[in-house]
Amino acid sequence: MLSFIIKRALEAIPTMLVLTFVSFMLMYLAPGSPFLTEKGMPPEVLANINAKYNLDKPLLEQYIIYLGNLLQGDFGPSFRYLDFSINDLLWPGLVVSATIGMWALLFAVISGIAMGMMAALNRNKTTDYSIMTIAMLGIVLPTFVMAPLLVLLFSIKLRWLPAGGWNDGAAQYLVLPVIAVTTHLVAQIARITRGSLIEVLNSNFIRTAQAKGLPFRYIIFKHAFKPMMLPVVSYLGPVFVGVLTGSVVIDVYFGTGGIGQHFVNGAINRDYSMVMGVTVLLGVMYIFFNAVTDIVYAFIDPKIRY
Amino acid sequence: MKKTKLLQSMLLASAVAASSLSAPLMAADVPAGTKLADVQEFVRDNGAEPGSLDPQKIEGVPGANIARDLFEGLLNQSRDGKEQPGVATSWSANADNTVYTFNLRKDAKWSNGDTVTAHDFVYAWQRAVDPALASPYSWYMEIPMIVNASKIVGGEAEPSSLGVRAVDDFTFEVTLEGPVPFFVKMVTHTTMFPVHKATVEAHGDKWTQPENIVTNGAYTLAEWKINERMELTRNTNYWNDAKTVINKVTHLPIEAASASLARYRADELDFGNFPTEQIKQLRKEMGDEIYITPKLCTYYYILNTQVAPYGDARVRKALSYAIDRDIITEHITATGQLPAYGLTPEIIANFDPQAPAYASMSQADRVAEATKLMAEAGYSDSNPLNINLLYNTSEGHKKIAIAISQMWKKDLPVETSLENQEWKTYLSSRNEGNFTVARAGWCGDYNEASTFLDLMTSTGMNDGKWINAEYDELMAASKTMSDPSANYNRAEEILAEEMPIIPIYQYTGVNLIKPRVGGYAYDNPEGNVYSRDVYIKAE
Repeated sequence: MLSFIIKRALEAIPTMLVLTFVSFMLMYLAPGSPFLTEKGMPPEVLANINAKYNLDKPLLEQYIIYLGNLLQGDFGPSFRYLDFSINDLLWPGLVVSATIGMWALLFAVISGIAMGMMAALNRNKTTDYSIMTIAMLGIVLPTFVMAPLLVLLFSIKLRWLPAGGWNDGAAQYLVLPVIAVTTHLVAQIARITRGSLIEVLNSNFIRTAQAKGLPFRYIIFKHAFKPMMLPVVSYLGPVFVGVLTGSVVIDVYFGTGGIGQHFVNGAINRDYSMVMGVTVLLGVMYIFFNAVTDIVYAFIDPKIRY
Repeated sequence: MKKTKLLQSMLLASAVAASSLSAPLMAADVPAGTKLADVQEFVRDNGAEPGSLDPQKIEGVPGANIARDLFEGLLNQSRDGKEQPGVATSWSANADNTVYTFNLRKDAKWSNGDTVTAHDFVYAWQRAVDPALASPYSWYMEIPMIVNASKIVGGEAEPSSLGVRAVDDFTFEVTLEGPVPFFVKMVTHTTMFPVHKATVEAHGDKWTQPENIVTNGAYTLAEWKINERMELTRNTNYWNDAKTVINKVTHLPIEAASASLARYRADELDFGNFPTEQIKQLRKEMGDEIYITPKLCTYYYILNTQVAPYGDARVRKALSYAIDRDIITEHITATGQLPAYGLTPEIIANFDPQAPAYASMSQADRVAEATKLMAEAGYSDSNPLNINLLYNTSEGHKKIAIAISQMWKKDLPVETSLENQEWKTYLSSRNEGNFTVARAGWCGDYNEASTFLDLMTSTGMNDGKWINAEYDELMAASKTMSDPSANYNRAEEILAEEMPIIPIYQYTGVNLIKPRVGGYAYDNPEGNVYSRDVYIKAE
């Protein structure tokens, strides 16, 4: 297991190098630049800015400077928010998004698995159909529809919850963004769980357990639960990163200050260091959580050993 | 008043401003009998996160909105956009209007208790042109021709050689290379606000963070959460703090108009925004809370005169004449915009733009003229002109582009294909001349026609690369004229004759304001609002 972890960590180095190099070059290929505005500016002003941000150096040199700073944990200055460095922007944003994401995921895993199991155990009965109908609603309703609907009901009509803001993560500010993020996840997890459990229940080792006369509850939790979780875990691996790093729809609509908005605005504004910062952060998280998923596999699937 | 004689010789711009010396100073003027709410908090949607709060680095409206609350320049603007005393109580110019002297009030204080002095202004203005700071707005200091400003920005002179001087602690002197008549108007802009030297030097780029910042305006910064909120609390050291009513101002950077409307409906905002396509429904629902104000901005199409056949003025004019602007402002934008036939908006100060001849023609006559011009230029139904119309991706621009392409198609031998590009790609296409016809918009930086007309000089942000020697001369000469109206009118006339751009409409600002808000500066043409003028009425 230890050698597996070390191997994974070593593999991550070339991956990150390729990732930063390719995204750095791609970003500069995109038309436009951070300080290009409709107002425009005289060439001498632009020259001063380019000099200040090293934008006047050859591209490869800029990349090497960037990499050098990155190795010291410095993501560089933001080209859009001139009073901030990327480090100042990424971490508070990540905290906001991760808080929303963790709650949403926790809720989704618990209720999604419960709903999926209930549906599978009542296969083709009313319970199954109603749960799956609700799940389908959750899948087809995108966040940008969900969020305004929630606000209309809970903030404008009932005046129970704030329509936006974050206020350092106060509970009442969390509720609507978490619901908006979680609906889709609950639905997905419920559907995966249902399908997985139905398949597991049809397999030979379950039939054997039933033939032995084991109690049904015991069969479900002792024998069926772990194999049922395999597809759920492989779904959760990448979803985990996506959920932790937030959603631009949530951030813009609820004004949370999450990191999702930086993803999109960074690209729109050609805030080069922001785009790079976000890419590096995402890259590291994907590599890390993919490794975690593989390790979790080893625990729940006896056929997998490292 | 001893100043009266001097004032008479001064320019119109400064004269109008100086006459307001006798008017009551700006601050919240609460009418007698108004019952104020117990909680004096003003929450406004500021549209977007500012790029900076450093007065010398600010380049956008969101940053300027907050800077006006945090800092105070030599002069302020009244609700209707006239100059009013700020840190300076009075000002005067020498005989040839090249040396301006500002007398500063002695009771102006920074939020840490230090006195605001002329040295603070000297420091800030030198900073604005310093290549080491690389302010995106350093060009703003070059416009009024402050001595050496251009050389310093260009790296040919030291920042200390800028034509500004602290005669003593409370006398600030500016020397210009020529008598720029609108100089006094420009000092209400954030680029010319003072900054606290010790704080800037101690904290570098981080000096605007709430824990470091020192301000001289009515408010100081308490909290700054990027993309969430910015909270300002009273600066009790502000010289006119006694007349400030609002205790806390919250600026929210809400990018989506639909989110702004939702939060306004949930009663979380005093000042909000809404998607303009909902105007009809909102008029029924909350008509008395909708405020439409003219803005110093013009919407137009640029023609790339370097690409055939747009070098031909006949084609340019035909395309312009065939557009029925009334249809666009009444049925498409439909929020009080005025049709534009010239570049300068009608609300501009100290200049009354004469409408060009084609503005008073009937649309039928314009179309007849356009048809004739196109035929002269060699186009017919069997040989139509194919236009590629570029705009930045947005539903609003798309609707206008579709309408205009239909107007062209209906009356002229013209086939239009629409092309939308993402913002920076579009800017880059415009900048590099990779377009034939492109959508554009321009907002004034100060309330004076040159901020629009300079655009079309051969050195301006003239993406269509139209060059006209007479136009350049008119604009160069106007810089130092006490009343440049004749030059401006001639410049507009040339634009109408040559049509290097097709003016379409003059923008308006649309907002929602709760009835409980008092003292809001609805009429300011630049949309400049000072939160300290505002108060909340009891409901």
